[in-house]
This record gives sequence, structure tokens and C-alpha cells, in this order.
Amino acid sequence: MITFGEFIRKLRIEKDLTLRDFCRAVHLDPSNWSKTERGLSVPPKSRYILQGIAKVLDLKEESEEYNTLFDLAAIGYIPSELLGEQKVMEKLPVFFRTIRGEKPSREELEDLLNIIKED
Amino acid sequence: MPKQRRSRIFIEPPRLTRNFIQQKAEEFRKNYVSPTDLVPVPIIEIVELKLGIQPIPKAGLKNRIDIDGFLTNDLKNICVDLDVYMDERQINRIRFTFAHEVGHLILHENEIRQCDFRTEEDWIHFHEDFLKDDLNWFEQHAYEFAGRLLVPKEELIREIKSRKNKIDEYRSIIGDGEEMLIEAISRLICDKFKVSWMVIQKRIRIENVKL
Repeated sequence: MITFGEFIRKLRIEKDLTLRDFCRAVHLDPSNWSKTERGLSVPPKSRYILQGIAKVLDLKEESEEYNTLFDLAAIGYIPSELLGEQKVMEKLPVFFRTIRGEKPSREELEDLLNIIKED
Repeated sequence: MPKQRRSRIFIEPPRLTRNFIQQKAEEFRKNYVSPTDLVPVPIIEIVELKLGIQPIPKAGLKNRIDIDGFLTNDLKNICVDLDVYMDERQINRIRFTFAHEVGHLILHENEIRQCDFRTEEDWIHFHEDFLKDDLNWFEQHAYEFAGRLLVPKEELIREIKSRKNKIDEYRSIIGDGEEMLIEAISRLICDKFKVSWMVIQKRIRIENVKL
């Protein structure tokens, strides 16, 4: 079954809305919202926020998609709180360089691992 | 049971000519930019809506690690610094980061796929072993791709020609200072392409554009 996050992402892409534009329009934190779309965080429960999302996505009240949005948000599920080791490996960069133009230090590599695991 | 240590992962930069990178940037424009001479190139939209690469904004990338962003190993996401991503004043920086990471995707996909990290130590060793010179080549390829994608030569020349009067005015003030003139022109036209003036400055030099 499609998750709340997958459902919203699909509608958002169909509307040609980037994550950045969508989050600005609904006043959402893009870091947290990205987790919601990837199923790593629970959907919002606030009716106010859900109505805001519906409005930005042009969903007509009582339309099938409007109701699905609320139904999927209401389904309780436990998101995986931490990325599994395999998933962390997939999200690591092969290429990156610091803005100061140097290779990262070991401390920076370890810190980056922690940031990626924070998902 | 502890995971068995594997032999370390090494990759070498492919030997790519400027012409090859230019060709790849032009191919990309033909496939994803419509009309192909459109500037500014809507790279953020292309990455997410056409390539299906999902951005992952992350707090602390810039402040803690001193990086703007990176393409993930599975080629599905671009991680970006949250503050930079949402700061309208830094939009040009984000646009260039996205174009740069697309450059890695287009030019270095084979090398990325060779990097089958199994453990965190695999990944740390990989970066510790990565020769600075090799990393510089990979980064230079992606930089070159991003510059050519966001600032196509023909559009750059067209824009400079359209500002002839202003450039003549600058020249009369600056005199023979070619570098100062390039900088002044770069600052004048960078908004058109939505890149920093330094990117334009480099493009003018690389393409040897006559002012």
C-alpha cells in the first residue's frame, strides 16, 4: 500500500512542485518533510496542516484524493527511527570536498556519518 | 559475528577532455532543457522533477562539515545543507551545487557504482586513501560540466554582445586592466544565468571570449 509520504510526493511531482517550493508554500521544514516523504517520520496529524497541503496541491474538498490524504495521514504506523546500516551505506557520498577546498578530516567524516544517521 | 574486512576500494578518475565534457553538457541540455537555449537553466526543477532525484536537506552540513551538498552513493538523492537550501539569497549556490552533482552523475556513474561500501570503516578508509590529486580531477570534471550547463558558450557570447555599450563604458574607466574588466562584466551579467560572478569569470576565460 502506498504510504502518506509516497502519495504526497507523487501529487507534488505531478504539480511540478519541488520540495523547496512545496515546503515554502505550506510552511513546512523541508528537512522534516523530506523524512515524512521517505517514510522515516510520521505524517502530520494537524488538520490545519493537512488542509494546507490539500490547498497547495489543489485537491478539491471531498474529492477522492482529498479523502485519501486524510485517510493515509490517520493510519498509524511506526516509521523506522534510524536508517539501517545498509541504508546508511547507500546514502554516503563518493565525492565531496569541503568548501575550503580540502579533503575532509577523519573527524569530519565521522561527523558526516552521524548527520546521515540522524535520519 | 564481526564483518570480514575487505580489500580497500580505489577508483581512478577517467581521462575526460574538455570537449567530451562540453558534449555531455550539451546532450543534457538537449534532453532536459526546453528550449535548449533557456537561461537560467531550471536545474533544481530538472533534478527533482525530471531526473527523479530527491533532495535531502540536512542541518549542519555547512556549519559542521563545511560542505554544501553531495550526491548519495545510490544516485537517488542529493543531500544539501538545509539553511543554504532554503535561503533565497543563496539560490545561486544551491543551483550550482545541483548542477555539479549532476555532473558527477553523468560523468562518473561507473566509478560511483564501483564503490560498494559495506561498512562505515570501508567508507572512511576510502576517503582517507583517496588521492587529493584524483579527487581534484573528479571535482574539476563536475565543475566544468556545471559551468557549461548553466552558462552555455553561445548564450554567454550573446549576453556579452548585448551589453557592448556598458562594456565600452567599463573599458574607458578601467583602461588596460583586462582582469578588472572581466570581473566587472561577470558581475554585470551573472544574474542572467543565476550563477555567481566567479562562475562567469571562469567561463569567459575558459571560452576565451573576446570582450
